[in-house]
Amino acid sequence: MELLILGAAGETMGTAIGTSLVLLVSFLTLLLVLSYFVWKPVKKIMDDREQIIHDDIDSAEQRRVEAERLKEENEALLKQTQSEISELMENAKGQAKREQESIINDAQTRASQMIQEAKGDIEREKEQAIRDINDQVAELSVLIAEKMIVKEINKDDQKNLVKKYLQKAGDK
Amino acid sequence: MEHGSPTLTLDFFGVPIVFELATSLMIIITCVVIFLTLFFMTRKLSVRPSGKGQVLVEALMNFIKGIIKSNMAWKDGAQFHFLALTLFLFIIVGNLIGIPFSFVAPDAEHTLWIKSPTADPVVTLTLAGLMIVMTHYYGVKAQGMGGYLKQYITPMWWLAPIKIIEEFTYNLTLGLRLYGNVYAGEILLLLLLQLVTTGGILGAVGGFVPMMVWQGFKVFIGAIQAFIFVMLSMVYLSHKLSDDH
Repeated sequence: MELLILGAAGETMGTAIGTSLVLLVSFLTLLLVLSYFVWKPVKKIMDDREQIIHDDIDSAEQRRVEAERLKEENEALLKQTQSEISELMENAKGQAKREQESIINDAQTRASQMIQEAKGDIEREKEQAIRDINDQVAELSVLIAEKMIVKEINKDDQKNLVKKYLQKAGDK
Repeated sequence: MEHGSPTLTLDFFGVPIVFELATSLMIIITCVVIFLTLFFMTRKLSVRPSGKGQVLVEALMNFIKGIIKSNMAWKDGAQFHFLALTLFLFIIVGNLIGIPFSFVAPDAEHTLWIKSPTADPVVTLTLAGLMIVMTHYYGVKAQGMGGYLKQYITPMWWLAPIKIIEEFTYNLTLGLRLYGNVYAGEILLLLLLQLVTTGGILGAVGGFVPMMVWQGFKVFIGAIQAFIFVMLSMVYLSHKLSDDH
């Protein structure tokens, strides 16, 4: 060492072991102190950050897979529900149609029944009315006859009277 | 102009131990500056970076990580991360600290108190030596003594002397490259400073712009040299760590 650098420097250089010692001690102290106070904490923070990023990526991936699974499940469920609903709708429609038909049928039968009854009633009323008229005609005939007898009339008059009264009775 | 450098000599069982006071002072100042700067930059750490300090320190850590990763697998190189970071910071701050200030004491020897600690070959060679010794230690640790020694006789046994010399040249080139760059820059800066301060009006006007340019260039050189030093240390380390070289 002495030989190598004496040419460049003064006579103190070659034996300046003290400076070397100062440097070694200072440098190693600096290394230890910086390691403890600066490098280790900063490295820890950086490692923590790396870990956090890794965890985030992992959990994001996990969540993506989970979301995919849920989506598929939901779609299957939706499809199933839709088919069930359409089936229900189909059933309901069929039933409604059947009910509609039966209601219409009922109504028709009842209506024709009512028409039948009304016709019968009308027939009966009619017969009754005819019978009443006949009765009244007979009574009127008797009345006319009585009046004829009381008034003493001739054959033509009588005929005319009968005709007249009959006409009267017919107008009533 | 010669600058004196005050020394302190301690007698250690008959062996004189010489301290160069100015360099020692600058080493300690550099370490303190680095520590305080980084300490206060990283007081409020959070996973979401809230301040510029944390972002800068993280960027620096990733930069050094990139240097290590370009030479060896990260599982091998992670153990050198803090060392490479501290080394890089020490060299770059050591290089830059001599640029804005230089204090020449007004005594008879013109003692240069404030300068780059890396403008001293003892400092750079000690750092280089530390790195080279470390490569040997980790080489033995990674491959065992047999594997480590086997490296000297591969690919050809008669290359062993060259390989052994190579280990010393690594040390020398690593240290002297840094020293040469910083020292030369410092000398030129001091000369320009003298021109500006003692050269009259002409010197002041003529020396100011070159000095500014040279300071900018020295910042560039300081950063590049710190990068190269750390890069080469990691290259040498990776040579010793892997068995296929």
